[in-house]
Amino acid sequence: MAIDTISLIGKDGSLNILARDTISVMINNEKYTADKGKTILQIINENNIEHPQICYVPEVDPIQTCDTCIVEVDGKLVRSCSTVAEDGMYIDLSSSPAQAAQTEAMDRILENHLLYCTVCDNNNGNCKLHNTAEMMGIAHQKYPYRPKVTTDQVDMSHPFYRYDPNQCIGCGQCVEVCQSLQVNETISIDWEAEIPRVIWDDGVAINDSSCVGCGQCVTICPCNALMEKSMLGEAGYMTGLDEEMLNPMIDLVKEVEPDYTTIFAVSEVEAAMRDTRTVKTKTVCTFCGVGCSFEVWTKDRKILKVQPSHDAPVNAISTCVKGKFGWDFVNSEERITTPLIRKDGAFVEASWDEALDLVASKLGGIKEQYGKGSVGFISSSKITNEENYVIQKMARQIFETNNVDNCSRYCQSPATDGLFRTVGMGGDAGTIKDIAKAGLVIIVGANPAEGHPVLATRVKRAHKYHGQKLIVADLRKNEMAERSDIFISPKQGTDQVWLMAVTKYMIDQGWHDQKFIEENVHFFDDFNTVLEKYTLDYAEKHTGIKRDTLVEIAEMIRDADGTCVLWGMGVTQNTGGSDTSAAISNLLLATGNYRREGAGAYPLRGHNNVQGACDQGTLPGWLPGYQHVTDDVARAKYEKAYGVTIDSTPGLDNIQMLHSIDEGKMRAMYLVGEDMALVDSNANHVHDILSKLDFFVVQDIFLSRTAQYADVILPGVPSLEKNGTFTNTERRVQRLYQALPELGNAKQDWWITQEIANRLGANWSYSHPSEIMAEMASLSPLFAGATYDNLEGWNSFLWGSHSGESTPLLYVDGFNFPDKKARFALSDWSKPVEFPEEYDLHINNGRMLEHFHEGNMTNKSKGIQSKVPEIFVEVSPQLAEERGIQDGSLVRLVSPYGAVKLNALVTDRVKANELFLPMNSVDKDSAINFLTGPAMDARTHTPAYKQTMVRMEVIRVDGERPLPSINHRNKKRNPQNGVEVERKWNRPGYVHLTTH
Amino acid sequence: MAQPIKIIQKKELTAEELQQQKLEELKSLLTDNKEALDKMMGIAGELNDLGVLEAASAMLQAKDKIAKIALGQVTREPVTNLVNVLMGATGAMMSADPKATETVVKSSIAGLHEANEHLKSNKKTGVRDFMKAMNDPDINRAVGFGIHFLRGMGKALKHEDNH
Repeated sequence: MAIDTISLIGKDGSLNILARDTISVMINNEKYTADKGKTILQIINENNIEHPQICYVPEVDPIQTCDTCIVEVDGKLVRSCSTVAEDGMYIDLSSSPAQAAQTEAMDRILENHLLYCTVCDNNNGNCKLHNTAEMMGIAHQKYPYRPKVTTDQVDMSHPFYRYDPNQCIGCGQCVEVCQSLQVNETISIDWEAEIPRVIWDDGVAINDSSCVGCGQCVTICPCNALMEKSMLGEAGYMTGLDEEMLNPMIDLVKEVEPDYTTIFAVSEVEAAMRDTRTVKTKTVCTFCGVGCSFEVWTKDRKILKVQPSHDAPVNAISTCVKGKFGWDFVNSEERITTPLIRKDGAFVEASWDEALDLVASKLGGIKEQYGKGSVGFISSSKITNEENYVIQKMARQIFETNNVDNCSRYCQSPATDGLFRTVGMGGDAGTIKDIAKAGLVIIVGANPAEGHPVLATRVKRAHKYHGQKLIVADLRKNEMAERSDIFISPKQGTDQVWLMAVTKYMIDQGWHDQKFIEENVHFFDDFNTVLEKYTLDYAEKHTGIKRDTLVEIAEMIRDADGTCVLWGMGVTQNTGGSDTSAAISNLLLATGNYRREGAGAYPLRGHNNVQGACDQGTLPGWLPGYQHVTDDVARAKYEKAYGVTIDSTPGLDNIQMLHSIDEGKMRAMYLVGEDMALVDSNANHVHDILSKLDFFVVQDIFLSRTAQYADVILPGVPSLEKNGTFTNTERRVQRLYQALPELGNAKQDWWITQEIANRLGANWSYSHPSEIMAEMASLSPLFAGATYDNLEGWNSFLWGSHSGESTPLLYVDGFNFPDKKARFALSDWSKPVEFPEEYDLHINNGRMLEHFHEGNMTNKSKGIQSKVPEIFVEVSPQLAEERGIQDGSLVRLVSPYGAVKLNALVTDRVKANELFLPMNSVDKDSAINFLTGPAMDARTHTPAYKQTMVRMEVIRVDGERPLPSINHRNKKRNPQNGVEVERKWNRPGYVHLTTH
Repeated sequence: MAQPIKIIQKKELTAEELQQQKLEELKSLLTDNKEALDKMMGIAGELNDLGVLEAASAMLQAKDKIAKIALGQVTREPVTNLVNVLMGATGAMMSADPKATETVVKSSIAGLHEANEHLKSNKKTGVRDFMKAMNDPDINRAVGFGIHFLRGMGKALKHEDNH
């Protein structure tokens, strides 16, 4: 064994020089060096040595069901996937006993599977079973194929995928990823059955199970047992034949019993043909801030499937139901595909020239007539970085205003503010890997299992298998709360109190990190003064959390090897959202949980590019790359590049722009990809404001509620029709490639902005988003390394260094202040908004797993709609009993600002007088923001959506339960320790292939 | 006050406009691919003269029926048996040593020739002639070949039985 150093250049371009323990092994008489602790199979794969491994999944622990990876080590047969290599080991991959064992293992597998590859939809060159059998030179099978069930038992019940037990080889990869990676704990193998097969929950139909439809099982299936329904009959040239034709063809293949090499040769020809027709394009998901990347397979405009890859830096093979299956909106007939101009009470189709000329002349004219601040710009967290950049550039260069903002104002601005004040950068401290690595994860006011599903899987896995502890603070008992070690429900708007009390208690006990504070943080004494009143008793009084529980939380932080705090809208959408975010950062600073792996602050960005929209300067106070407009040097740089004088005063944010419109100062607005009329608080008020605009331009893919107020609607395109980059919650910039042509006459969003700007004399000449990124990077040191070359394919870049290097972990060289020291934020808790007594119920709101945001993309998916067809309000069993209501009762909820009417769902996810209204509604009768009011976070003006009280009127008692019985929330999971291969080995008559 | 509206007035093209639009598309397609189209027209003309196009057209129209008939035929047991026999025989032949096979085949032909000559002579063969013949090195070689052939075949049959 030796110790040397290695230089690792990560996918993200980061350079790490590490000391490592290495070993040497002999494989097939050749010497290989590897890191200590690696399994034999890992070494084989690292060195690109061809070797069978049907059930190997790098993201999970060895599954050990297939036995095809058996090797001979010093005379013994062992599974290479589960045997850790030792120094000096002699490994033979192809000795006679090893080969015999591998072949026998494959024979046992093929007993369960019919190789009719040419007429199989999985014959796309990446079928693991096909490729392995071919690699092993398998010509015939020793054991004849035997079906497990009759053909009518193929499970087609789920809207998105099917399971064919008769093609299932029982390798258990689907089980392992469901139990141990997604940790939804639905799938298992009934090892005790006469012929083992995969089952859902206790053996129910898939659609009646606790399956959340994440699709990881389908992605990982090495054959065609689990298939996306969108592939069936579509992927192959002959797979679309009707059963009358297809079945005789499969029978023919069976009857003639050809040598498999013949089948493989023919099927490979057909797979090569498919390759010319099926286009596989890497993209980045549009449904949340996690930043999953995957290939999307298309045939003309049809989306055949989404295929994740082990190479994807964030998610690897993981997806959620939306990312895997929720793309119907792209081809929806409701897409706007031609520019529309308001004329006489209707939108009339227009040519691009007509629409753009009108937009330019009107916006330009209003600026001329009313001055620089008379036009406002609202950019989008769904469009690309490049598109955000040109929007802020148009605002600042052409309209000479800083009145530009994006929808982070509605969600994440307080988190960014809290981080800027304390540690100096508005981004997650590390990556999703740090979250998985932490000893303790604390989730405050967020529901990542539904809002950030793939990120949540990493916490669930670490918690289930790797001893990670989990604390959840939320009003509602969501899935993460169910899984937590401690679940607290502080009174609404009091998170800052318990966070400060825990911090004070830890300092009082001497459990803080004095050395870290002395070396890294200012204002500790002042901070202690602020903390004085936040005793455990004070916290118990205001939050309702028992002091013993708070002590327990403090002890868990003390004992953890790294604490990560994850938070979301439950924190930020409060009057004290910024201060609570700062309190989180304070707690982490006090306990030394920054500047190290597996620790830090992680605000969970909600939209796919909410981080990027802010990074690109669609903010009233920030130029791209977080250079403040008050910074003379930075401003001068942009002034030189843009050839104009940039105002040194921050512009108006979303909320202020609405006030300005109300006051008659702002006369026109250009809004891209946001449904402000639904997502801003107090929607009735927004209606009045938008109606007052002299001229309103909306760029969107649908006729959103906001677009209905527009004078001109310009049809942009969704992510699958774009080239560009998104930046996820980790600060990771990733490229997306255009998978589909623009639908109809819709255009690239950056092109539209450029056309408007050029009509106003800009003279821009971007021909590709890469040119926009290059310009932005040249002006923003943080992004200097974010070139399209560096971002090619699966590569990515994490901003965080002023020298422009990729920076997975922030603050390694100190905090982002001139003296490299962080600052404790010195803010007191302020009480939440009070409502008149008649409004006796608190209404919370948030996302559902199946839907994205207000739902105007995901509601185009028939499959998703079948699982969540309508909106409802969650009511606790106690309240239901008290008010005499039940599932399906129709209730009216009335706040001081409006009313909604919808059906009740009685559930213990909420308690007492808490209500929960999912936010995926585009209907005035059920959208949450017809209830929310004008209160806002004092520092950032983010609406305090979460501080809303209502009264409830029962309109009708009887009604149908609004959540269908097939929804996973109605089911019970079936947790297991992965695939539990020991049960296979314990089957009577099982003959081991390894040496015992 | 701009009130929200949902009505979209689509520009409906008249039948003539639609036709004109399609003609324009076709025109540019033709001019862009003139050379290829000339060749295609030539080939199509010759196929038509031969009557191939008419037959192909009829077959295309009846494609489902024809495919079903064809599949029905090839999935019958005698046909699948034939395919299996052919594939088995081909496989076996492919695994034999081509040099040795050539020697055996040439020797068999020579043997046939000699045997034919013998038939023509109409001579009777007695037991003595048979015993004497075993001393003939050529005959001895052939008998030895036969005995060892039978031994090898017997071994292979035993191996198949065990499976």
